[in-house]
Amino acid sequence: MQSSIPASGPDTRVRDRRLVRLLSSSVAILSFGVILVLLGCAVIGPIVYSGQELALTSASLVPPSGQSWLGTDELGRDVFVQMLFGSRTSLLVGVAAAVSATLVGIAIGAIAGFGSNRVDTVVMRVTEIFQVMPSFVLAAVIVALWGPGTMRIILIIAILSWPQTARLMRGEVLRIKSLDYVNAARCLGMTETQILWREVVPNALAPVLTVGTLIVGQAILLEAGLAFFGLTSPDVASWGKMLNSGQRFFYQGWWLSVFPGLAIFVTVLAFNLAGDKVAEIFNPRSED
Amino acid sequence: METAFLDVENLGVTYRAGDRSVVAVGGVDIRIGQGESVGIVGESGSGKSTFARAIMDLLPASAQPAITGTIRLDGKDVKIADLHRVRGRDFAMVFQDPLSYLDPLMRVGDQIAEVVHVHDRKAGRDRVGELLEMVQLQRTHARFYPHELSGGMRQRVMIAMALACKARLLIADEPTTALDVTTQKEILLLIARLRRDLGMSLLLISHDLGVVSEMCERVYVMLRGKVIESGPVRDVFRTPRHDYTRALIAAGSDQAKPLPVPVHDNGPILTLRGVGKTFGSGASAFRVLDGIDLDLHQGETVALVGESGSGKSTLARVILSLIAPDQGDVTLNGQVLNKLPAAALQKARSAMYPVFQDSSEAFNPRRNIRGVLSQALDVAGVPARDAAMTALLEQVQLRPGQPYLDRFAHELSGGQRQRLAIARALATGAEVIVADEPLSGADLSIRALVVDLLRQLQADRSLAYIFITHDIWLAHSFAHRIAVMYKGRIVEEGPADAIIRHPKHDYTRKLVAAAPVLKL
Amino acid sequence: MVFPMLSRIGCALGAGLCLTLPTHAQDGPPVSGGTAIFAVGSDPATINRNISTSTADGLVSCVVYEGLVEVRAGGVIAPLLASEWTVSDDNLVYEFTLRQANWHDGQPFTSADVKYTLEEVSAKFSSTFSITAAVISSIEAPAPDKIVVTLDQPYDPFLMSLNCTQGGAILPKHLFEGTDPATNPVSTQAPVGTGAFRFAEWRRGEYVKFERNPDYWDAGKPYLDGVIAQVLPQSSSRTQALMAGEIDYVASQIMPSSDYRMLADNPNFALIPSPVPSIDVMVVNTTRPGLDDAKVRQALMMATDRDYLLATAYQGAGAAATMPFTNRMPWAADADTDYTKLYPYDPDRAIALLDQAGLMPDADGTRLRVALGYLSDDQDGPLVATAIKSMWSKVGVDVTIAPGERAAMVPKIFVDNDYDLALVSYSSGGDPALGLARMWVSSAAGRCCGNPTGYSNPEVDQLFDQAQQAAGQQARGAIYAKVQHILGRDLPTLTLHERILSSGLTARLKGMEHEYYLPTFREAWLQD
Repeated sequence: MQSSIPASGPDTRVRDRRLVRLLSSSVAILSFGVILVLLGCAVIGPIVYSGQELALTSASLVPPSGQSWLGTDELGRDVFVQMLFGSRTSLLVGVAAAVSATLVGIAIGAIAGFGSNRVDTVVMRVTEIFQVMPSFVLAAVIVALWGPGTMRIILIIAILSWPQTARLMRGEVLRIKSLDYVNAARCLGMTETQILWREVVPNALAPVLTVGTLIVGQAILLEAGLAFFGLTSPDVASWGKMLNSGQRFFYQGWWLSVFPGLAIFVTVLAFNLAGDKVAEIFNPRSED
Repeated sequence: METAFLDVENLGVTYRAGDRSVVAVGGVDIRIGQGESVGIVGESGSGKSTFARAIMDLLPASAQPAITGTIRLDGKDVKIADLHRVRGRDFAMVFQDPLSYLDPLMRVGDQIAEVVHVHDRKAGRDRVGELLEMVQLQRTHARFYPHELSGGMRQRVMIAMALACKARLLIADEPTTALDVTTQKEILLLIARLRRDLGMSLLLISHDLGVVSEMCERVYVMLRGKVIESGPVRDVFRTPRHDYTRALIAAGSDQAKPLPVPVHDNGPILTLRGVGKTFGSGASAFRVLDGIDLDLHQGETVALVGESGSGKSTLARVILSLIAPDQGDVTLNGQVLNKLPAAALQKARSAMYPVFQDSSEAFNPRRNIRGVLSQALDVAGVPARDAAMTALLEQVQLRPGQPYLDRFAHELSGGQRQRLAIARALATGAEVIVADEPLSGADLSIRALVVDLLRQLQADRSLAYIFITHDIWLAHSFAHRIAVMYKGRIVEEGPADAIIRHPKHDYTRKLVAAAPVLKL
Repeated sequence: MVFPMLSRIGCALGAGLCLTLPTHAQDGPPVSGGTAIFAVGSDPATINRNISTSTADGLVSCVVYEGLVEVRAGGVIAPLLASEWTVSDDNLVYEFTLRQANWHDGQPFTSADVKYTLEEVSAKFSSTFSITAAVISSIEAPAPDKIVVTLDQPYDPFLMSLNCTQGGAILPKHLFEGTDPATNPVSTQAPVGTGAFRFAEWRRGEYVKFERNPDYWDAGKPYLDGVIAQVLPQSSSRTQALMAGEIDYVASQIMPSSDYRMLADNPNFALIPSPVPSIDVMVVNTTRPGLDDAKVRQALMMATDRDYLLATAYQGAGAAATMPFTNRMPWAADADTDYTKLYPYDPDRAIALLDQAGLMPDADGTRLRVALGYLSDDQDGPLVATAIKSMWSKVGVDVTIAPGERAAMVPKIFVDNDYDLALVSYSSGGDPALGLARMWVSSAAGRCCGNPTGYSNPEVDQLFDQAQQAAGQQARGAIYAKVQHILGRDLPTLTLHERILSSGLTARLKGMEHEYYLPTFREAWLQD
């Protein structure tokens, strides 16, 4: 009778093949390519244009031309050079904040979802407190206490962003912990901690990572918002800051806000698309 | 059959998936006469449900189905593109899972009224009441929301909606698979009676040959998208021509040769004494288990039978120490599990391993089969070598075993997965296997395969099984002893044949009488 | 005008973007009729300038209320409720003759109203008038149309302070006496004044409506049937409303400077520069090492391209500073003190001065490290600071930009003097004694918003005292020139930019060019 269900042929490379297929889709190539180019610009750009960050040209608000590719700003600084320097801050803040928020969110969400009802209730109430906390009040308090700085901005954004990840993680953990394979693991004599980190958490990661890439975008925009209120260090250029200061001169120089805005848009989009792909790679069931 | 009500010729359904196309149904001819009752049997994936949905024009558009073939209704051609006009006018459908087809936020009366209104604008509110009475519900049930009704009642509501269409053909796709045997019996009787009274045709799709043999005049047997055999039920089931049909029949009939109850030299390996469990507290407290006594010896199979809600699954979880009992003791190999500290319990419980109902959720999707088995072998203290794992896989008829090691459980078929679950249980070196409905939802051929495998392993290794099932015939053929559960108690327990042939308790009698069986 | 002004408004003079003022010669005689609509930035809290310095309150108050005098463009003081006055030879006794006028409720206006208002309301509640009140010895009302004010010491800005803008608007004694002016419904709901327009309707959060006062003492005026103050909280929406023809006038205090160009380029609109001078200043903490040396401060001035700042950071609005005070008070200027000659933009000379001061470059090429602060609500602050950071990097001065919230920053600069450099702006009521002297005198140190520099020069203190007590612009101007000569060399503050606030209006609204800080509309008319 066993012959009635043919065993599929030997295939030891299912995962590798899937990885290759996912990475070779045009969306993946485009999004990962854009991210690589951005990272390259952030690393190399400021080296190439070293020292020109502060350079004032003789003409302010010059439209894009062969001389200055993306025009000059209200102080006569080259927008392209500014954007290269700004990409460092924006990408660093975006990625670092998203990574920290995701890590914190995963840990807290996992504990809430896997712990007892009482732990869950307490942790989720705390999460809600963070969620309803007015972002800028918190940011203003932290900056007032410790002053502005890129690390602090990352911290603030991480503090503001982890609850969404934690809530999602909790939901996934709640769903997964009731699945039979968790009981199967329990019957194998695994401890609860082992079950949580080895059996439950890895399977809850896919949607959380997707949200993580969304946080990259949120963080870049939030940094822009904090910059607007003077809560970030004014010595450090960032796309968000350029976007905000450029808005004031929109009639005189559309390029001041359009290019940083475009850069933020492209970055956020690339991270989101890449995030979807990463989630697919992380989901072993994404067969076809 | 010259003036067949419905005549389907050479119906094909092809799905497009990326660059590939998958043939789900490949050239099927089916005729249904006016007022005739026709069954389609086959295992999951055989294309029987796809066929039904194709003629209802209910296939998911996202799968990009391409439907070909000729469909004649009352001798007149119906274009494939016009099938949706027929749906709900001439054909109505009842599904396995009514809850997903009912609007959860709308009273069932309103949902029925909606259908009534579509087909008869002048019909009054009273029509809803009539329909409810026709399906043996109370008129007052109109005010209920779907979640307030039992599974059987929901299925009756679905039937009432089908009746509201005044359809001439009722397509029932596994209408009772999710229901208890006693409810199943009632629903089947209802469908049979309505069909007789209203002169409706019936197309019954089921994996259960017993149900089809009771309900249908003619039967089609489907395998891999094709009809391999058809004819009057009596002829097909008595003198099957195709091997596959024979295998189906063998698996679906009450073929039990009573198993001798083994003689036990030693005491029981697993003992339950006065086990009780209450969920909730105060007014909402619900006594799930009440004074359960049970013994299980080495090499013995005890089947727990009963309807859903009788406490079978909770008992399984108590035995597995996944939940602690409020009262009584669970003793395994002389150790009282519910009194052991956590660390000792982790060690002691490894003599016992579960096999779950839904094999798709039984494995960590991130572990390949090597990972799954090596984890289990670790428990038994056996070095996780590929050779050991391959041997295990081949023991459960997954051979050659080596290529499976790098694959994932979700890449296997349901039957392969269930065998993998057994392999994992074996890997732990467990002496007691607690199998909770391991075969429900599985097709007959898989059931036979797994049952054979379990029997074989029991003979080889003297395994003891707690086997939970709602299928009383399966219990009869597989278990040495049967314990009948009803409302949290074991109402009757004894040698399997004695329980089935000479039930003492009223409930057992009812259960046996309601269970459909393929009568030859 | 005691606080640093931070709304950045100016007219384009320095950048060559110049304005033509509408003149009566081209417009023909005034026409009667029509209603002018002007913007206010928020719903007024009270309609009483004497108890509130809020801009929104001020903009509606001076339509209804009048002072004894009027300050016209150019600082000319003209009669208003006082028809004429005499000043004693010692500049201590002022004797005013009042006009025959009636309150909007029909009661006659008398010298009792003047005495009551100045003594009981302005002196006690007006943060601007209270400075004047401090030198007033007595106020007598010998006759209903006579009022005599005696001062403790000569105080030249006295006449100017008897103006609605300065908190010297005359209130009806019969409605205020015995009440708390802050809660009196005449302040909070329905004002009763002597002005060209009387209160008609107040729809909270939307508008305040005024109608022509038919009983106005200046027969024939006003020309308009009414004026409406429209609440427009968003600065950009004010320009939009103006350009869409929904409103006719946006006062200089709330007109966004970034929109000046747009109005200037369009013949249907006009800009009127405000007569109130305001300067953008970098205050220097002269107690900090490095910054304590005048040579270093001079070097920093030479390292700062003020014309470039004007063209970029200040968007061409206003003018580059050439002296510690402002060109808008030419009578107080010192002939020798011209920053274009003293401190032209010259990085090489700046480096030479830093060398002389002993500030040598370190391994990074940095001679001095300083933090430059500004208030985070200052729109131009980040631009100016960033540009200065760029410019000074060429002379080896490394700038860390350190903005702060107003609430935290103001005490830090002015009270604790815990800063290196900071960008602030000072506004003067048209006289160095009103608003500018506090920047340099020793007595104004340690409190907001006086002298934060740590600079204390007895000679400067003495000269400012003399100038306040001297009589006549010429005599006082000579003293102020001496002060500017000293300040221009010591540079405790680096005056960077003179801003000129401008009101924006439709070209058909005429008769607004003589208005002082807060508009009265008494001579305004609408061309067909």
